[in-house]
Amino acid sequence: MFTKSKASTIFLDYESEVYKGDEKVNVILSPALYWVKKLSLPLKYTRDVKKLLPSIFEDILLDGNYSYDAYKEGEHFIAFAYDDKEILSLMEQKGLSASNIANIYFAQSEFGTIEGGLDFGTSKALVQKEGVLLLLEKSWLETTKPLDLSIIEHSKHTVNLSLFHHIVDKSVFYRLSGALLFFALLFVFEAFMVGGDAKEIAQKKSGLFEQYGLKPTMMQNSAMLKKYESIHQKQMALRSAMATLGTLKLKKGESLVRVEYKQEKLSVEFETQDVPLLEKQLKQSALNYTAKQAKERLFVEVNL
Amino acid sequence: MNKINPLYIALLVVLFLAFSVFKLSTAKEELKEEREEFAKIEDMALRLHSIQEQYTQETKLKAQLTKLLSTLQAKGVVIQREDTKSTTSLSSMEIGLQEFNILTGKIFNDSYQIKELKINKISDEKARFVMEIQW
Repeated sequence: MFTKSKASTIFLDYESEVYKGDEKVNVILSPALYWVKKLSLPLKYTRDVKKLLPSIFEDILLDGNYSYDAYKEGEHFIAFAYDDKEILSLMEQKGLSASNIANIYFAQSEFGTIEGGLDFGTSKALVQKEGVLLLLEKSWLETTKPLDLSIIEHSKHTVNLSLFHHIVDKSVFYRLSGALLFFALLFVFEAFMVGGDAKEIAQKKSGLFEQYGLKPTMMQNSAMLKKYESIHQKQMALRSAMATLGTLKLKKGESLVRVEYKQEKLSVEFETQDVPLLEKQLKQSALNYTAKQAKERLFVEVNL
Repeated sequence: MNKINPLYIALLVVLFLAFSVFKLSTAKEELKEEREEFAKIEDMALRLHSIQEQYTQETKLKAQLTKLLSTLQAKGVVIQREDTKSTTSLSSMEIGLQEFNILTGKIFNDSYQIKELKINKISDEKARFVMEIQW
């Protein structure tokens, strides 16, 4: 029912030709691009072996950053060490980009048993010694046969290359990612809690409308408040003005003869023989007024 | 090449972190806005409730006014009262200064809404007045 398009395979070595196609290809890494060991260890699982690989290869590797891999083959483990950056750099030189590559394999896992040498078109050939695939000068071998990549059935042992590997150790990277993820989850949790608080406040806000019998819209309530505040301000201004006028010091025979408050205007009339003194008192008060004098009368209009 | 590149995982984690930071900051902003709006509504509700209560206690104020007029009338002061649906008018052609002070003192110290007021001095001891209270 499902058909899988089979990608062609190329052999990658320092002496390989530059790849000029744009189709996806499987890449087999030459033994020149990795270190390999056949190990007999009293361990059951490959994952346990992988943990030991850095120390197993320690004595043969130069200083640098390496990746390690292993798989089980019969009673043995086949272990690898490789430099991702070196391989990626070579791939780039040979015209292979990540988008061109279907899978990458070690030559070790792909060729099974080899009789004699396999010629892949360079000065070297692939040979097998005690189950380990090696590169030897072709001239050292008596017979070689050409390498036919079209008949290869690939194994499941693919290679993972990572540029990142050279920047920081994977475990540090995963710990860092884990920490970031933890913070991200913490922030999401906090956002959820904050959202809950916001909802609670929104509910309390609705409760205020019921508690204080507010109108449905804020505009209506603001208009009502404005109306009452205006009434309050005018009433307080009237009372304050009346209190001020009532406390003016009048001489004997002087008096307040008329008070009129209508349409928010307060008019008062004083009977006085000393208008300047009365005016002086009015000026000292906080009243906003205009005054008119006529004979022994002072007419005052207070702006409330 | 088939396995997920750790860089993609890192990118995903960073994106998730950025998303969570954005989500948190949005939630905090919403909370701040809700709090501010709540404080604003609460402040307005309290002010409106308080001021409304002050100027809408018509029954109580009318009862107090009736009582006050009865007291003054008992002292022989003649005060006319006229009530409409929205106003009460008080007037007197002659009222003693002391009684007038009692009347205005009570009215001015409570939350009666004075619409109009007219006072004329008749003599050193007497005055006449007209006052209209709005309900």
